Amino acid sequence: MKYVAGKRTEKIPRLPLEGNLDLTYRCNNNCLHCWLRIAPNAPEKKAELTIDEIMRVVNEARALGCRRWIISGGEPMFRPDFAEIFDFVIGKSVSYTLNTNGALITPKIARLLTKKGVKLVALYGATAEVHDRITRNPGSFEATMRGMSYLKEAGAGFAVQIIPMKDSFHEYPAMVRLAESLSPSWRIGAAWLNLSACRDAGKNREIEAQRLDPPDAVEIDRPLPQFEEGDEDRTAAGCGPKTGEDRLFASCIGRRREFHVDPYGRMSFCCYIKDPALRFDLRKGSFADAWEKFIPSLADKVGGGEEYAKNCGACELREDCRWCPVFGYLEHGRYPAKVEYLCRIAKEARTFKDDWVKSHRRFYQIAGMTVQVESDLPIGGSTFHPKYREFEVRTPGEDRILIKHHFSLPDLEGKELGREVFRKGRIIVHKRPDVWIYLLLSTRPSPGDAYQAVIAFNNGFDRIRIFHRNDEAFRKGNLRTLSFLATDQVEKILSAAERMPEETPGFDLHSDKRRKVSDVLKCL
Amino acid sequence: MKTKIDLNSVYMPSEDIVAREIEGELIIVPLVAGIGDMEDELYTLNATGKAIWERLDGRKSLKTLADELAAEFQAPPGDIVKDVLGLVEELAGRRILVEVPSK
Repeated sequence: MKYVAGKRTEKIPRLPLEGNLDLTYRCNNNCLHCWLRIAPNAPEKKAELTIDEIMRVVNEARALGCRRWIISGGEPMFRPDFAEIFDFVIGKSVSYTLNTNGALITPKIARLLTKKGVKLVALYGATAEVHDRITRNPGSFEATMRGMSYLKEAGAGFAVQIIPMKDSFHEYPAMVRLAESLSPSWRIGAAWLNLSACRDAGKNREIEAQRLDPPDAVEIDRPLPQFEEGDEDRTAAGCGPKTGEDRLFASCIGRRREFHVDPYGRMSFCCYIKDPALRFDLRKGSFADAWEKFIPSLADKVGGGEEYAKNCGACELREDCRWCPVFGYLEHGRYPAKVEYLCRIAKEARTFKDDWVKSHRRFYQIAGMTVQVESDLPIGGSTFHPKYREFEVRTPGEDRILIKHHFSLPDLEGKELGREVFRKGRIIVHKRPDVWIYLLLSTRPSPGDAYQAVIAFNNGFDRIRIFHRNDEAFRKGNLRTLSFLATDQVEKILSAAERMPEETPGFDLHSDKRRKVSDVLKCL
Repeated sequence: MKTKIDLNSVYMPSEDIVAREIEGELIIVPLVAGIGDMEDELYTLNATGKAIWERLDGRKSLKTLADELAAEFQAPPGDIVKDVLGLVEELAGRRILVEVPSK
């Protein structure tokens, strides 16, 4: 008998699993676009949590289940006690994320950052001229480069976070190239900018002037159609009220596993909440009070009313929109208010998605099932062998399997693949709670060329992601399988799935389900 | 991971986990890396597991605990012992339970 079951975090009751902690809003830089930053000697410095107070909050959160922290600012390293705080917090965590501009990284801090976690170092330009103009801090580009070199010397992996905006967008491709040269991992920070809740008109004009034109924002942060199971109900922002719900934060509070603590010990459910009425003072009460009583009480506190019902609540672009009530507050000081800039981005996103679907998605009706094939590269008239033409349909039927093709292999180094449940010849199968991972080994595996393909199946075997080593076969076209794999490889996958012992964890499927899996795999 | 369990030993929840009962369900949250199978996974116990977990106080031996459960549920002691050993083996293998050193 199994007494213990693994449980994915999205399927558990409300628990404070992840904390966001902004250590200070003071910063060495003074970026044109920043909605949070205050001056290095701002009087708020005196109100910042002390290290002892931070330790208390971290310990109290841990007692309720907090296992991961996202440390941010301002510039968190601006605090002289950063190293001590960081060391304490990550000692109480499974993992962490650190946001920094990198300029204050010293060799000592770099050594501390070798501890496993995500380090995001911001890049504002490809050249000192642009980067320093945005940070309004001469020498900041050089300091950031120096900080990254300390990280490299220490062996502390990091990701470059590109922050694109109007004044840097002309060198965006160069920023990407620089990021790639600095680290194997890079990402885009927000492609669109929030206004500051301080309502300083001058500051907000500065931020607005840095907002990218919507087509540019969409181009660098492409809104690809949802693919994963269960994603269909999400909005582009990933949060916000459910359709037809007037209580703007009820859904968000109900499903969130995270919380945010600002530098002054005021806690809420989201880092964008700046309204003091929606924050709990941890100096006046416990973390448990904040999580168990205060935050749930906010679910009924903010209603959308007529403004929401007439605008965002009734908008047909909602699914493609980044809007969330917190952004209404930051933009206009009213939660239900629409944000015109986000409306424009949503329109662009919808057009982009519609165009993408036309060129990257096809449906085939095979053996009573619809196979939906999606590809990161456009599918053309000669991509598939002509035999598939007679199976192509315009719309999917009810019984549908989805195959999505990617043309680079995922970085599996250090990734948890789960238990190995099958190994034969050149096929290895791993099982994680929600996914089966099939590794198709190269004919002559070598470092950097270990796999021909990596395939991820969901438990129903009807959502399939295939990561190909390259796009060679795809570009040649005339493909004879919907998986883009050679027929003998498909046979091997089918054989691996069929030979999986009944007692394999997660594969305790009755024979009907097994037959269904077999049918699905035959469509590959 | 299999761990050989001695019925005379005493077990308690690790300090590196938090166990919380929410809406009747017992959720076990690993708080440091290296506990359990997956970094992002939490755990829940079935009804039998939960009944045993609630009695793992770090003081009484598994034998004593099994005797108490057999009396309370009026169940065959052999079945209860099997359940206790099964649960402890699963949890100790994941470092969710730790053995209390004998004095």
